[in-house]
Amino acid sequence: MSLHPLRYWAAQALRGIRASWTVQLAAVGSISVGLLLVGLVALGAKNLDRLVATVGNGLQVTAYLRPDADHARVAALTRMLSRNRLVASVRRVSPEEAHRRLEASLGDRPGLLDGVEPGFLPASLELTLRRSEADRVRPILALLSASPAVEEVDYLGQWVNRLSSILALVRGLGVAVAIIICLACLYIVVSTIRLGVFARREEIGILRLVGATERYVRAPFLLEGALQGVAGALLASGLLYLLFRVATPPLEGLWGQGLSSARFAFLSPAQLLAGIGVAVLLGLLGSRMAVARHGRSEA
Amino acid sequence: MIELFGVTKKYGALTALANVNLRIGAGEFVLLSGPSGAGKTTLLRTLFAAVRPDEGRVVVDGRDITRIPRRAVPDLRRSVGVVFQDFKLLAERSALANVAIALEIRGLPPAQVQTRSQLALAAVGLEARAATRVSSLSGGEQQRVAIARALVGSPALLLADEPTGNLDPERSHDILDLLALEAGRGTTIVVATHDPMVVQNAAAHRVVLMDGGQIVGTLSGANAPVNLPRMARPGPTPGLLRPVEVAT
Repeated sequence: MSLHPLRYWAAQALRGIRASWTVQLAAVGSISVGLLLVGLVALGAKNLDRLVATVGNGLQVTAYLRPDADHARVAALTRMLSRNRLVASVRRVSPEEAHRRLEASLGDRPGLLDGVEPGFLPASLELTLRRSEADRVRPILALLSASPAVEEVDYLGQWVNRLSSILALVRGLGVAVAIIICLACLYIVVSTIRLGVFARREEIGILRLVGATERYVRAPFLLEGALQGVAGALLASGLLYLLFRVATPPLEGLWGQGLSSARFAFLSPAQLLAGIGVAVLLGLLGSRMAVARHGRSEA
Repeated sequence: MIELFGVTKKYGALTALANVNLRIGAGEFVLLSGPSGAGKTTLLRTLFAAVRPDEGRVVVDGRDITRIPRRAVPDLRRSVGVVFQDFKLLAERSALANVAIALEIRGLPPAQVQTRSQLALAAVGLEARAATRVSSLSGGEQQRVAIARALVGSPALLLADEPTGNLDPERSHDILDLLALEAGRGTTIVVATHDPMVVQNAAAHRVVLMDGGQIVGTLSGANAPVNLPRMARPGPTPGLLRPVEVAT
């Protein structure tokens, strides 16, 4: 295909945007608000996912050992657990390592541990369970609780399960919200492009009479729709990043006091590109629907 | 080149074309003449698939255009130059841009589009008005822009609906000369007109007389133009048009 029509299409699309720039601005604004909401949901889901991964890190059981636990007994317990098919790995964490971890988890507030001796925290056994066997963890918990070497058993699985449920809910809601918003964006694109088609109906008629193909007639509108999608997505990405930068410090402070020291993460470049791609597809689809309807009415 | 077999077209109770049979050879210059409402415009519009007949067949260059799919219509229209009665120009674009459209839709390189469009405007005496918006041109100038757009693609078939309707006599003669020149180059030309001056002065091979949607007669023997000296076109001795047959 010759490149010359592309210049015509681009010029026509820009002409159309210039001719109704207030309508276009309103459309891009509406699309960007919609996509911003989708972005917020995606961002929330991503960070909840990270939280689950950080807290759960697989499915972990921590057995805190008595300070006077017999080494041989602990070693025997470790061997027995390692042979259990429900257990993916067993690792002994010394009081010093536990102290280092706690220090690291406090981030920029290590002063909280001032005066706490490195050996203050108990040694522990960290068990990572096979994910598929998580619901059959009770015998292991019973085994650990029954051991004289173990003082306390902490199973994060319930937390992880709860968080996973919340995450699944957020994802489900996100998908529903995204679908509704995408349909709304589609409606906006269809409406604005139809206005453009209506404003240029005489020109379209003349083009058809002198032999322009449907592709030639429709391409500028498709381009216009795609540009609306791109502009809306870029604006939404910028606003989302701004919100992220503003809201992250206080939220991370709250987060840090709770479950984890995990830092919030923004959407990756690939995720942002995927979002822009979806917006472009919406723009193309919307304008295609608008011009197709016009084509039918002209038939 | 063009054959119509029993073509009928009705708009509600109004019969625009009634069982029209007509054959126009390649390179022929034919005038369709008759009063308003005779069916001239409808007949012209059937020739580039702007109107689909209710009955009958229209064959252009070997193709039955009453049966071609919609997607094939643009291809047909690109091979035909059409001068519309109401010009069908883009009022807010320049004369040059309007002419250029006919080449742009063919995907020609911009430089070629520019050159050929300027030449076409020069051929109708509008080279100095190339950059002027169509809305600022007079009716006659707009008509010439429409003619330039129809000719710029060097079509094998040129259809013109009242192409001198808005022109003064001098300009009308110029346009008729231009059409004759195109005919001399082998372009098939069909012009709808109710203007006796055009019938008398055009270098047409034939005049098809229409009334009430029917062909009521044909004037022939005019394959040499009345105004031969202006045309510098070889042919038999010019003579008055004479009736030869009635086609139904």
